[in-house]
Amino acid sequence: MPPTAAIKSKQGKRGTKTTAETDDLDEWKKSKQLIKPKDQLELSDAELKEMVEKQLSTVNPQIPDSLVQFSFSDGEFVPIPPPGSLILVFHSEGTLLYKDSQEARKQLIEEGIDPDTYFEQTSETEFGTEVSETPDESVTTAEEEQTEDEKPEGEEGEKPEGEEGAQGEKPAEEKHEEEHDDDEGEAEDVETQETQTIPPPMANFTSNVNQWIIYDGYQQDWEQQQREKELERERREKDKAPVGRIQIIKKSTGKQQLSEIVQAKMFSCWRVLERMVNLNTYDDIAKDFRYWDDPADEFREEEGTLLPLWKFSYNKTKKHVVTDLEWNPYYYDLFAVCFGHVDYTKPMSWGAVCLYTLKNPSFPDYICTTASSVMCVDIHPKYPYMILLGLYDGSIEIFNIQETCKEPAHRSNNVTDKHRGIVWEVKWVSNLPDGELNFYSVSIDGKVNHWIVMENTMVVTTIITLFLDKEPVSGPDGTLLKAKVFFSACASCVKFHPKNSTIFLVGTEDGLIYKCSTEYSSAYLLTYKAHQMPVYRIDFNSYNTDIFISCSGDWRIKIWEDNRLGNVTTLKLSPNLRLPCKAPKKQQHLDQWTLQCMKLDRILSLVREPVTLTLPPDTSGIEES
Amino acid sequence: MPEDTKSDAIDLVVTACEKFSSSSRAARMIKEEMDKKFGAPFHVLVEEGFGFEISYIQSRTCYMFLE
Repeated sequence: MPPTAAIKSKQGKRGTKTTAETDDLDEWKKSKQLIKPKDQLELSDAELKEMVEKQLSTVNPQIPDSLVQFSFSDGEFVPIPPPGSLILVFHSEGTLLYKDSQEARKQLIEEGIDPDTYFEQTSETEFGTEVSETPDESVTTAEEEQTEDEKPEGEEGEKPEGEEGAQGEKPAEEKHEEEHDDDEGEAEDVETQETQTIPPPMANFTSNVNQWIIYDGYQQDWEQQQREKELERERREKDKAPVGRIQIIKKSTGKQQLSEIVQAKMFSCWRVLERMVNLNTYDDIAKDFRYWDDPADEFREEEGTLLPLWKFSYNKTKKHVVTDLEWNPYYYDLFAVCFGHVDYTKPMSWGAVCLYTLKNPSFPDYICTTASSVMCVDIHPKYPYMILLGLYDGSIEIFNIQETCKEPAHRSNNVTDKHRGIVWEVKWVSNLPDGELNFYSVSIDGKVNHWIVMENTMVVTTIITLFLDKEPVSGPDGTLLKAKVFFSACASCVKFHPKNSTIFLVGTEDGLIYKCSTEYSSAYLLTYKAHQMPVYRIDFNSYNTDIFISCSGDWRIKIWEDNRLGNVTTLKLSPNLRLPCKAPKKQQHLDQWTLQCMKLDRILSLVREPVTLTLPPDTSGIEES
Repeated sequence: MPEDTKSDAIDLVVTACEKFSSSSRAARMIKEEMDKKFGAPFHVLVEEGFGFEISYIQSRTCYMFLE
């Protein structure tokens, strides 16, 4: 409706319109008959003249009011605020800062201008007054490449002032200013600084490059490589003899590019070399080992001489006590030594088993360390690489030294399947019909355990719990109580009968020896009242299996015959004797046990020569070698 | 040359010589690459059978034979 629009623009914001005015204009413009709709509202003139104000407001009548939303936290409908009527059409981020704001002041300070003076200047500039002081020179850090200082943009504030040229009070500055470039300041003290970097070190190089020079270069390089290789070889050989196996391996793996195979070959080379060196060094002793025979022996009856041959030691176990020795049944020069502790007041936190060979007395061939002291060892007669260890804390470990010495192949479960005390002795027995390995172990908790080695674990069954037979005790009311008081006796050693694998002998810490069977767990077959002190070892005679020998801490060695309750012979020795082992060879090398060794003269006299003791005729001819 | 730049330079030389049969093209490539990587003007000589005298900044030169 063009006329209405024209009225609107004329009257500005006030959007007033009346039907009367419209009609007037119509009349004035076109003077035609007014067309009235049928339902036209009839108003009187006064009413028509009435000004009806209309106001525009920003309330959008189309927005729904009383909006509600269900709130799950309250569990009821809650009103939500009405949506806003603001539409963002355009948004642009700018970089301008209001100059009086904090940030702007910060910027100015960073540039080195004192904001207050700056504002003074600018405000004065606007009003055309003189600036009382100039901002300070800000000297930028003199880097070597920079030749002149530049005043920061604070100068520009002064520029309009200077350029106006109206200030006569600062002729000096203006003079300077005219001489400088645009960007540089016109303030008083402009300093120029110049530095120069030290030129990098230069040198001259002259040469010819020809065919033969190239060839010579390659030749030299080759020669140098060869020389390096030789040096390495020499170094290795020099350090060979006194150094142990482990250090040699470290040196030989100098070059990382050596593959595994090469390393293995190197290792075997080292081993051969080590043996050779040892052989040469200990040549005399090796000869004595084989051939030494003291002709004076013939004149000494029932006595021989013992020649100490080798001393084996491993410096890491210097503080340990040797707790067990065992010869390897397959390799006649290999023997195992267990390191642990016996003295309760001097405990060792770890133990080790070292396998030494007579061919290399300077360093053990295999070393297996364990978490606690090793008390006993046994090597399987058929599989000489299976080493069985009994530990101080009651657990059992089996090492397969063919594979690795670093960790045991099997380990008894620390919670359920272990002994509750020191494992004094472990013994392999022959394979089960299925071919599984099994062994027995005894410990001070009085249990004799039978273990079967499975894939990943060991299955244990307690064969027998040792107990003490006590006399019936007289009760409080005079009756004889026939209670079998169960004290568990502490077993300290075990030995199986060589012919009959179900019968075994157990020695206890009380000095008794029990003959037991694997089939009966509640009764002993026989009890020998052997010693007063713990029985440390029992062994059977290899030739006559009815005879066995026991040694104990009461300094006595006793020889027994099966079924005879009293012992046959007693030998008294002065110190503690722990171990009358029957070595496969004539000589015994017990050097670690030096005490034992020296005082063993007497017993070894029996060992070396066939012995005839005062025995009844049916048991004569014992040779305890 | 310090170790890392030396190894870079050696690799660069090897690739360049394998790519280009003419020495000057190879030398050009090497020079441009070295300038880009390590800055400052580099002189590169790729040839067999010549004599030379140069002044060089110490520890920034590499003299090598390549088969």
